[in-house]
Amino acid sequence: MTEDQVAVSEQSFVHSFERFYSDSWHVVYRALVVGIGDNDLAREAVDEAMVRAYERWRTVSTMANREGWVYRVASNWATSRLRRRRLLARPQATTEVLRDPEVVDPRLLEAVRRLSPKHRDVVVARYLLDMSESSTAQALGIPDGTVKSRLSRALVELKEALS
Amino acid sequence: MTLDEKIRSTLEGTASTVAYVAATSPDEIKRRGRRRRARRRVAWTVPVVMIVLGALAVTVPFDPNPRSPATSPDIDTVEVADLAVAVTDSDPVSTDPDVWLGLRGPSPSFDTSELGPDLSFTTGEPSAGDLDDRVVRAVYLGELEGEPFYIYAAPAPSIWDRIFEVVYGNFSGDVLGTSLNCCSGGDMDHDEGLPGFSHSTSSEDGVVTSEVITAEWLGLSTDVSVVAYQLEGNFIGWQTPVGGVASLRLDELPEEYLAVAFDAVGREVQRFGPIELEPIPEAEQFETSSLLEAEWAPMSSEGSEIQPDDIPTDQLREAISAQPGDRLFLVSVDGGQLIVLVRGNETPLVYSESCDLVASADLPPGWDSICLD
Repeated sequence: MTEDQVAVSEQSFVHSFERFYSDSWHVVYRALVVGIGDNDLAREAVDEAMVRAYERWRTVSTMANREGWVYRVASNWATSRLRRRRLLARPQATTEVLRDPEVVDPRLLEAVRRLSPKHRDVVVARYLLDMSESSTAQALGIPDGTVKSRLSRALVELKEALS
Repeated sequence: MTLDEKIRSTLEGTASTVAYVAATSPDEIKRRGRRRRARRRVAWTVPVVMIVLGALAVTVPFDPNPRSPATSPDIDTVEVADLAVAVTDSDPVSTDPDVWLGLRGPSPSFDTSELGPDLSFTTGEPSAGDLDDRVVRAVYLGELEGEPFYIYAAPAPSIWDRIFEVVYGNFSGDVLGTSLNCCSGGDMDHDEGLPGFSHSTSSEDGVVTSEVITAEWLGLSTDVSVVAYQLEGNFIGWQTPVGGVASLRLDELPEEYLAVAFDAVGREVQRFGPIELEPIPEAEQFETSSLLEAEWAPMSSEGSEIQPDDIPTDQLREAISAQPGDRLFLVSVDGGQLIVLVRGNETPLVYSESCDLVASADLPPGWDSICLD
């Protein structure tokens, strides 16, 4: 490869990351805020996951579900950080917004946030990020059957929370 | 509105009210990514420098299964949940439960000042009241941070824990624990004696009340004089192992670590890392204790080991695709039976034809399941 070819390849590497970044940052950020209820932490987590995506962009860019990968890394990082802060049992919403009770069931939202991270990730991926079962499996790095079973367990917990 | 519609509506409704924030500049993200890559390269060069500095430095290939530490024939060892622990004498110093004194590694005769402070066990005396009633045998290693420190075995509390022990190649069925690994005599989240980190918590009403993060290395050879941990590029201290155990308490989990064992004259005898720690799924690192009071239960008789031919249906047999070396357990739960597949030391996989059955089973934290319907 000539020096020019190397430069072009490097440029396209950077551009493809920037495109992905601008398309996906807010999508992942919103999903995390919904899941963990902490805007500042969600922001830090998405930044951290994007740094890791950039570090490994040659690999991540070839993934079928890059957004899902970033969501998974961000969610894991946020969960770990929550634990370090000893706030796991008390997730804090930094921005309280009045929500239409016809649309948002506060008990359900609270129950989603109380799910274990593994279960919550599947619920957020399926219902908010609108991923298929196999796309969710790819994003979270688990078999399709595990997506089914985690979702099934999560729904049992959510149903119980509403009853 | 169905539950599905309700969930979708609630999540989308919440997402739509998330206040807009400007994303961090991509240039900043790229700058951090480039810096991280550079730091990782530097971290890999550190061990090389250390080897060059020590004229006689020898790196012993990493042993993937060091449950039995290398000891000379004249050193006494006792089995603690399948881990051979070097002791001062084969006779216990007290009984009920049996307690031995751990054998201290040789004192270093080389300059350890580059490795940080000496965090070694100090000498003390075991006391009858130190151990939980459930402990069946223990080795006293000394005092750490003013507290008596033991490595001990206790019976696995349930069929799930027993399977968990099998995952770690521990066929005695006992769980292995060390004093720092839990707040109330809990078990250890170790990986076959390899250096690693554990995080134990205790909580009341769902609120974490105490938290212990420990770097531990078990099964060290008796000629190891110093174990030093380097976190994110800096040595944080060293310790002379006792009974082949080194245990350091940390303030938080590091992002990157290197563990190095030296003999008494400063020759490197084993190293592990540097390892970059990815965030661990929360359930796996947060709920490591299986010996907390509320979870303690007599060994269940509801499980048994089975052979692949005993798998009840073709569909399940096909899904499981048992391989040589796999172990299978049939476990009864309310409403049916589950099959647990243990493959190597991977997290067990729980199979069932019914998603409802798996959903209703109280699986150990961090375990995954696969259902077929």
